[in-house]
Amino acid sequence: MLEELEGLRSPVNEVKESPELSSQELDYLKECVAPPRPESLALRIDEIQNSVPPKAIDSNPQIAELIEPVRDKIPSKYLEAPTDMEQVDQISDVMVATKGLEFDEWQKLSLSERVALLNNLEKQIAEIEHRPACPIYVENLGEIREVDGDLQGHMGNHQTDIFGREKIVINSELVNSNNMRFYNEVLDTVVHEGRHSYQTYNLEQRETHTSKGDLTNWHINMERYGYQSAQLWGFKAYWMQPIEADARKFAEDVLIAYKKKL
Amino acid sequence: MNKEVIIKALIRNQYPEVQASGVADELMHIDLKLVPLLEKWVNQEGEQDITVDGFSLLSLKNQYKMSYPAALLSIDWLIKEPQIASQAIKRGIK
Repeated sequence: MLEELEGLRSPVNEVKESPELSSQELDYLKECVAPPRPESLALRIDEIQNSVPPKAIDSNPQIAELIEPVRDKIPSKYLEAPTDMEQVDQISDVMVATKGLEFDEWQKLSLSERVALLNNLEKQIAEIEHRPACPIYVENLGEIREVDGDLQGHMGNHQTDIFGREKIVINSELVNSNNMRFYNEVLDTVVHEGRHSYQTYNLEQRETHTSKGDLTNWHINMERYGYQSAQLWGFKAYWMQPIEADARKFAEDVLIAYKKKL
Repeated sequence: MNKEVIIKALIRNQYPEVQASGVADELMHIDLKLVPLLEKWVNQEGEQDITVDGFSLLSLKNQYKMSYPAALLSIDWLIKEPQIASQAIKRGIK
């Protein structure tokens, strides 16, 4: 769930073709390629591309070619993110490799060890998704009820404050439990809320997502009425909105890939 | 029921103006069975409960900290699309 969305309504990005760069513009950028000055390079590319929010700096093929020799020195948050399929594959790989994340090991961890593990996982997910990591907190978000094999309740949320600071909150009842369904829900919620952070980054900070269609859907979702919380709009509007449908599907895909790899 | 009256009631209950208009649009189309409950709420005559498919309106409201109109819209969804709605509600909020 996305909460406290002050400032999340960004201007709609102007759709522009990638124009051919002039020789002056290329020279201007080359000054930051050798020796590599990634932050200045990103600033200059943003200045030339003049998009709001800025695009991934390698979204223009000419610039992508220019920065190729120093690409590994550029922080990933400036670069186009992998496709969703690649992200699912990479995140599930990271989950398999994360010691303590398997259910048998998870059960032996204390609450603080679990929180540390989830924060470590979120950092790795954020790197794959080319966005800054969010701190993860565990808070009491109310009772979780197990009904006919399903869990009902408030699992977690992703919050952005008026200064743009983000955090992910997971219901303490889920994280504290040794019940396997609760454990599965923790993993799903971390990936789901991380996806909301990715959406927010793309809408507010930089368009690194490669699907223009998804970006348009997320923009429309946030522009028309803003985020439609279940608390104000009821379950249907909450459940059906593109931002939630996307986060739900992404987390499901990651969890399926993770279980297959175990 | 008049949309403006619903909007006023929503704003009186802390809805931001822009969202109140959208929620009022949804409330204008709720199942006839639920209209008397909405009217009561708009007229500040209390919050009546109803149970559909095993889901009680007031329980949903309390469990998910929903406004009364949001819980009403959730029950409306259960009436109109019971399978999808109950599946969604059973998965909670995140």
